[in-house]
Formats: sequence, C-alpha cells, structure tokens
Amino acid sequence: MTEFTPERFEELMAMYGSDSNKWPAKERQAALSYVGKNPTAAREMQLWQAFDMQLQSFAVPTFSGLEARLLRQRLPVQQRGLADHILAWLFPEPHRMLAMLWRPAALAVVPLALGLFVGSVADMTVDGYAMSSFDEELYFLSLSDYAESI
Amino acid sequence: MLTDQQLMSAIAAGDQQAYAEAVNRFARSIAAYAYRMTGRERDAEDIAQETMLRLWTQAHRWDPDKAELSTWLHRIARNLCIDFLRRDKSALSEEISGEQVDAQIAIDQQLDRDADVLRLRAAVAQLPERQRSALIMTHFGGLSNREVACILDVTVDALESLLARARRSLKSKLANEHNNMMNSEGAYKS
Repeated sequence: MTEFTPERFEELMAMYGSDSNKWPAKERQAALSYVGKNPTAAREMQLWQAFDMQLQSFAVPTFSGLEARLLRQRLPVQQRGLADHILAWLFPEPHRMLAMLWRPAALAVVPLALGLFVGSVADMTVDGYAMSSFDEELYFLSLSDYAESI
Repeated sequence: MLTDQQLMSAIAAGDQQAYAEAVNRFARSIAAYAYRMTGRERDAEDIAQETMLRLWTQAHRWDPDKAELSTWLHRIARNLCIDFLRRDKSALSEEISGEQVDAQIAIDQQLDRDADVLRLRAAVAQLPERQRSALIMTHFGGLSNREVACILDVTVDALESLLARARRSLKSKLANEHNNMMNSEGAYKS
C-alpha cells in the first residue's frame, strides 16, 4: 500500500476532488486510511468538500425552448466536395463495408477496361515503319553470304 | 435509440429527423458549457446553435475512431467559445467583473447566496481558458478525463495537472475573497 504524504494527499484533492469515488482505485484505500489517522488531512478534506459544494452552485439557466428554437431555424445545404462524395461512395461506413466491397473493386477495373478499349481502337503502328522494315530486310538479304549454305 | 454512428450517418445523408434527435441529445449540454465559458445566456445559445449547425454541415467529417460524438461536439463548441472570447473580450468582464460583483454585494447584502455565486463565476472567468475548459467539462459536463484530454488535445496527465492548477487557484481565490468579505463586515459592524 502506498504511504501517503501530505503533498500527495493535497494533489489528490486538487486533481480529483473530495469525493473518494473519483480517486484512482489503486490509491483510494491508502488515502482514506491516511485521512482516518491524520486530523490535519481530515480538516483539509473538509475544506475541499466545502469548495466542491461551492462549485456546485455555479448553475446554468434553464435554456427554456432551446431545442425548439434550434429546430425552427432553416438548415443550410450540406456542402461536400467532389472528393468527399467519391470517398464516401467508395468507402461507406464500416458496418456496410463488406457489402460494398464491389465499389472499390469496380474502381480498380476501370483502368483495365480503359486499357482494353484504347488497345482495340487505337492504331499502334508507327507511320512508314512497315515499309522501311521490308526495304531493310531486302537490303540485308542482298549482303548475306549464301555460299556457306550451298 | 440510434447509436451515435447511425445518427451521424443519417445526418450526413440529410435526414432532418436524425438532426432533431441530435439537437435533443446534445444542445443543452453544449449550451451549459458555453454559458459557463462566456457568462451570457444569449451567447451560450448562439454557440450551441452554431455547434449544431456545424454538426449538420460537417457530419461526414466525424470519425468515430478518433473521438466520441459528444467529445467532437465539445471540441467544436470550445473552439467557438475561444473565437467568441477573442472577438468580445468584454463578454465576461461586462457581466461579472470583480467591481460589479462588489457593487452587487453592496446593493443587497441580504442576497449572500447570489453574491457567492457571482464571486464564483467571476473567479472561474479569471482562470486561463484551458484550465477553465478543463474544470467546466470535468466537473459540470460529466465528461471523463480521457474525453476532456482529447477535446483539449493534451495527455490525461497534462489534463490532471491543468485541473489541479485550476482548482487550487479557484479555491485560494474564493477563500481570500471570503476572508476579505468577513473582515470588511467585521469592520462595518464595529
């Protein structure tokens, strides 16, 4: 059990107040025992209790009709950026995440589909490349030494 | 009853019924916090209203993994209070300055309890903002130390240190004022 010092006891009162239920559980028993044996600590605790009671007198107005007033006002349009919309669509709230996994999967398929489309539509040959390649082939054939194969 | 997460999903989707439920659930505690921070009922209501409007417009930004809904709302309210106090430095001093407290007491010595409350409010108002927020949210708001630490963006240890400083300072200030009042009453009687 922790041996209590007057400083630690004062710190406990200052941090957590005079209600022992709010003290850290591991120190509570030692602190109560300290108060029981120490009249100065008991007197200090009474002062803190008086202070805590005084704090309770800081009441607030009743705010009558507050909710009704807030609900009567016109609500503004909920503005969200395009990125927010896309992210919210892609990654819905966690409890719906599994059911909505097709959304990120669909997004991942988009580049693939785009690649297939471009590949099927676009002419990938370089202008004049076929002809020059054929001419070069004839040229190299003419230089070949066929004597070896005879 | 909807969970905070269901409530916020519905609000983010534009459900006004869900917004009404959020107002009923949180507006009063936000207004109470703002009142203890600003000292004016009207301003506290304005801050509560603005906080709830931000809940409506920014619902999609709330991340349940980072903070509970009440924590998030108190953080918004605290920022609005700070803005308000910066804009209108006279707010607290206009209503509950020490001179006015003395004047009030002089006007009616019979209303001891009211005078004590005014003294308490003035003493709370003189605390630095972080200490004041820490004290109000833990002592009156019913929030846990962990939640308040999250709102103030400090560690729990730092929050406890803030609380200790706030309570010591307040206790000492109130005790001094009480002693001064007793002395002045004694002098008046003699």
